[in-house]
Amino acid sequence: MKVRVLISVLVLAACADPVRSAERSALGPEDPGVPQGETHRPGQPCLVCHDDFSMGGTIYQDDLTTPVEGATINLVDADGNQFQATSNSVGNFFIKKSDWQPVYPIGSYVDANGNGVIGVTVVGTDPNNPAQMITHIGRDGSCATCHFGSGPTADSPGPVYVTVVQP
Amino acid sequence: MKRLVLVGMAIAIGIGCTFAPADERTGVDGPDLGQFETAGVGDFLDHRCGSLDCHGSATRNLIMYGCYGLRLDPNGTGLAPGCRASGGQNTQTQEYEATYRSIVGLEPAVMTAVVQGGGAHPELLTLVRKARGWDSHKGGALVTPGDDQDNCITSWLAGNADSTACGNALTNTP
Repeated sequence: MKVRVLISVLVLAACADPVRSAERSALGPEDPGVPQGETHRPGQPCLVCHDDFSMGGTIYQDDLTTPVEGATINLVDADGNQFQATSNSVGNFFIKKSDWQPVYPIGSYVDANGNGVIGVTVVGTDPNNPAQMITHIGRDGSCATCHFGSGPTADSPGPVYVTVVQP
Repeated sequence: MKRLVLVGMAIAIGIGCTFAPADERTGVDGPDLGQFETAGVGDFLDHRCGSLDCHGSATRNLIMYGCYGLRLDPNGTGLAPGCRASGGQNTQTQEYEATYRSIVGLEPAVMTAVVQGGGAHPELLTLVRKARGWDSHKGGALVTPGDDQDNCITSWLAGNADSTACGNALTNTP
């Protein structure tokens, strides 16, 4: 019996991806004040753990710290397929693979009919002042893989943000 | 006969004791650096391959620098991802040079052979095979032989970069 348990443990250990395990460890522990769910870990790369997600991220105001609830994230993939998501109370949004699996890259280009396509557009409270992504997403559905830190650096444009008009 | 064997051994030992100088350098023939910047080859590659989640990552073997992704920022100039059109600064000459070195340095011997062959066989390069999807590539098959994207790369390797193809490739791809 003990031998079978030992073999099972060894088999499971051998199947673990050390790179993925390290990425998950690097995210740190959960905030004890936030239950695991749709509002946890804002600003972190969702797909490191959520294998069932195709995309996910967090939208902030232009102070780069205050989340935007109700922002609309409009996405168009390389084949022209569209999807729309909405951010929740902590600015998080996510898309499950069962709902949409984009064809990468997602970015801005001129299509075969001569029409301009914007791959990612985020609309906050002002529909006339959306944020548009100029560069493209190559293959990683986690916004925070590239959009991290507290502002632009050589290897990150900083968090995703939209300008919010106060009522 | 015995003397012949001894002479042969002496020659073999003599050859075996011939060392290359410690500071010997092997030259590399690379495609034109100027065309890489001016004909739009570098801009296209940065745009198509250099996003921060792909070859715009400093952890990759092939690293691409520029305004579409990772900035070189060697002097702490504060460059961040984003080209002039989005309020940033376009790719700098130092960034073109760094990307060029990364491409040429990836397979220097093969690159030399391709360039010396007039670019007749660009598919010898892993860069081209992966872009075409002929070798396993996480980003998949991104170019098709004969299209603007492929022509941009292969014309540069052949010594006459097609700026029109590079411009079209830059505009018409995500």
